[in-house]
Amino acid sequence: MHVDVGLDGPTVVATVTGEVDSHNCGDFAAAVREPIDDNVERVEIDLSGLTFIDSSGLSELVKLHNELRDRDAVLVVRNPTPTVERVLEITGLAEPFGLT
Amino acid sequence: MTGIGPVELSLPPESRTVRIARLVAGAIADEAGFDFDGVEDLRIGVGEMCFAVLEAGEPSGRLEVRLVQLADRIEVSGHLDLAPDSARPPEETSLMTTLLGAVVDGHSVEVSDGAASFTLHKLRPPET
Repeated sequence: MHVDVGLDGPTVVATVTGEVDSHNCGDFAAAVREPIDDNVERVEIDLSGLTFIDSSGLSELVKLHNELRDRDAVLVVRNPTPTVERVLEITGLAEPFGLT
Repeated sequence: MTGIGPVELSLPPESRTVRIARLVAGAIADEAGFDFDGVEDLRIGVGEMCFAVLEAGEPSGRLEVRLVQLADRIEVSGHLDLAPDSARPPEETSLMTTLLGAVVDGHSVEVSDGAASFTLHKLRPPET
């Protein structure tokens, strides 16, 4: 698993590749959170290189989503692979993450 | 179709080895004729179950996973010996419950004094 993170004005843009599961979801979440400060209004995560995610990885996304919502910021995910998109739809997370 | 005989994995009880079990599960599902989603479903189910037993206590042995292709299903079971007095009740988050309910046709996790185990199965889709 690898995460590239950058800042574009008030937007954090993260690109994740590989597989996110219970083994590495903490590292994934920490990498995405690292540049977030009070000025950040939006976090976009590009999932085009993410080939697998399990419930632990989804849980980290939900925590991040809730933290951002509490400070009037938003989390959106982009370009999920078919496998990941299906998992997001099964768990009802596609809509809150801005996919529909 | 003749199914692959039992495949038995004996893995170090570390979270990083779960992807090996997922990889093998995916290969067996593919060999069994499952479609793309079916292969991914089994990978998800096996991963969730392996992590469930790894988080059930302090391991005192290897993570043993057995996969069997039967005529109408793939069955997977797992076992992990735990150190004395380290067993914790199995936890299943709502996300895990939702995901497992969608991707496999049956699953269970048991934690007793000294061991954690799981079973799951996924039915083969009807031939068209």
